Amino acid sequence: MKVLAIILSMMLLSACGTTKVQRIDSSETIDLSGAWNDSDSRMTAETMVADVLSRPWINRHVSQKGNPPTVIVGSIKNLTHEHINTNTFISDIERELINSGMVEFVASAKQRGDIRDERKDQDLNSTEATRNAAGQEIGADYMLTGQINTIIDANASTQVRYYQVDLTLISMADNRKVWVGQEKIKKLVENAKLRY
Amino acid sequence: MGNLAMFTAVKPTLFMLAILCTILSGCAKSNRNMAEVANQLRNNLPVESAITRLEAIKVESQSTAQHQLNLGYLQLVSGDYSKALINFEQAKTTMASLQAISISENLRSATINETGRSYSGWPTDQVLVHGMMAITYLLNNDLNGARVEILQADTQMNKLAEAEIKSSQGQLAFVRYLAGVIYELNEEYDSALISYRMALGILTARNETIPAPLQQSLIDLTSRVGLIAESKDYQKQFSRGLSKHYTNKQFIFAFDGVVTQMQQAKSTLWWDIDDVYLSVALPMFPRNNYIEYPFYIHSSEGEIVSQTIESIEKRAREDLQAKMPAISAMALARAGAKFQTVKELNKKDNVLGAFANVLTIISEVADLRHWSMLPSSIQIATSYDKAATLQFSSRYGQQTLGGSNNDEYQSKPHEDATLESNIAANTTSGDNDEALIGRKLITKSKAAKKIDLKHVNSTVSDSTAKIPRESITYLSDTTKKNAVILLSSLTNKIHIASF
Repeated sequence: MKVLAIILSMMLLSACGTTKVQRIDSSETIDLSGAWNDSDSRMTAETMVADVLSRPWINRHVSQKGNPPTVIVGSIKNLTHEHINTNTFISDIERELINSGMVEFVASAKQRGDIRDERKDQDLNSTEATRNAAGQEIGADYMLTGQINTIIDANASTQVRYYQVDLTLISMADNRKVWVGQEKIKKLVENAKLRY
Repeated sequence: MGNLAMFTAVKPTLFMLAILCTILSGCAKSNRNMAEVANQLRNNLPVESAITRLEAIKVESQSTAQHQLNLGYLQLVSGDYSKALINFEQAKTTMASLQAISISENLRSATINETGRSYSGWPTDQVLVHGMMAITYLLNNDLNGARVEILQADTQMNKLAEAEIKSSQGQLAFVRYLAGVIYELNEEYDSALISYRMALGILTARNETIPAPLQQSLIDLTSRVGLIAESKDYQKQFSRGLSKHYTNKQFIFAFDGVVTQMQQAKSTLWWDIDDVYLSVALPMFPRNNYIEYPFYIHSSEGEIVSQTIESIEKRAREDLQAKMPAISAMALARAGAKFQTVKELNKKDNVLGAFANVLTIISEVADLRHWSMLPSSIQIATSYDKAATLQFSSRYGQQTLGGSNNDEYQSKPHEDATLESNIAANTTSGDNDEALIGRKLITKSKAAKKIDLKHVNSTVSDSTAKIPRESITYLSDTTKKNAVILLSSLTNKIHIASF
């Protein structure tokens, strides 16, 4: 009888759940499924940008050219087992690089296209004083490209998820690789073997 | 078993109440409705109507994954890729969340029936959902998305292989071959070769015929990555040589038929000693009467006939067979529990006992849920047509893909009355099929307009009633690109994406 009462109360309790929303700090790390999440993206970007900015290529460039290097972020390929939106990762890297103040940053190919269209429009419609002339763009000295890879080892209820992010900074002038960075994340995900 | 007997003995009336509630909730109803739609699809119900009917079915929470899989598949063959992806993704997430063993569902299965379990998919479903998603992503021109799905399928197949050591459950040659195609399109030739080898391994282990496209891919790719000796071995084994070109390759996938629906086998016997009826219901597949209908592709290099790489009919039966010992054991345990309950109630009151006995018989229902809209077979073909026109013919419908590069692509009914009569005659005279198809294709190809593959990502719309006849589509590739083409016997539409 007791067993039956417990089962019935569990059934009743499970039906009483309501939607609950709680606001949390955006920098707080919450792992739910073990998949790549915002924290992975942010922390990887921070670590890798800190690494790229601490390497000798930057001082070498400043001493040779006399001004800070101009960087553009190219494509970062998702070669993982997950549908990752690499745009958020690219944004995280761009933010870290710009905020460091150590490099100049230029708009992406898509953004440049939009800006050029706007500039053409200004040519036709803006006053002489406010018009921005074409041909004044800064060309990037370096392009940052990369890929995110995964290796997954799984059995019925346990998974080891290994992420490897490889970024390469390539000189636009001569295709030299001036920096190669690598960040690894390893997660052990244990799924419940039983459910109600 | 002992615990169950104790549980039912303590409070048989409560137990009977639970059974009554289950019967009233009509758990198996949505599966019956879905199976009905699947059977109608076999009898030429248009896919669009099938989708509407499926969407109208009220589905119990424990069958949502099955419903989403069915909807997703039909949306894929009808060309609604975004909705198909949403349904497949939801089904995948639901199935993944149900992998843990449920205490309440097991308890319910042991006492009432199996339909109370949440549908977590058969091993074939768990892998094939990734394959279907990969095809959907490909047709949606998202090669990276398709690649992700193929990696997930690989993880799932490895997990199943580890769990089922003596079984090949969930090991699908189609998904391995598709992985090879995706890697090849992504110019990852090493990975492509590994996947093709795995597909070969699965088919060899099953003693099944190796389809010509797979043979050719193995020969070409081993040569391409520099494994000349292995390539020569394959050439010798398959009695075919290297293909002339590696690029400009059209990978054709064809879905034929609708998989046979599961049925219930129910036995009821009178147990004289205790005056109780005992009932056991088990799922079963009827005899496999499916006859494969190949798709014909006419290119400048001749006729290509699609070949089966995956018989879903066989895989579905193997999945059920592998699970039958557990299903049977649970059915016997359930019969024991129900018997005990009825016996207890009989002791108290004969009328109540008889009523309870009727309830136990009615509640004994087999779980017949499976991915019921799947094709009976998945076929493949590869065309290396470089010059001009590809023509397809299959069992159902007819259409013409025509117009200039800037035109909307539409299907057109036959304009040629003589041709119509030829086709009508063709449906009744099996021996003359090829001759008639050939004549018709020659007639139509003279009028066919050339179409650039890069503009053919949109699909062709249905315009004719779906009756058994041949369909024709004309393509022209002037861009020297690879393409993925999906055909289905359920619809006239031909889905194409170029890469």
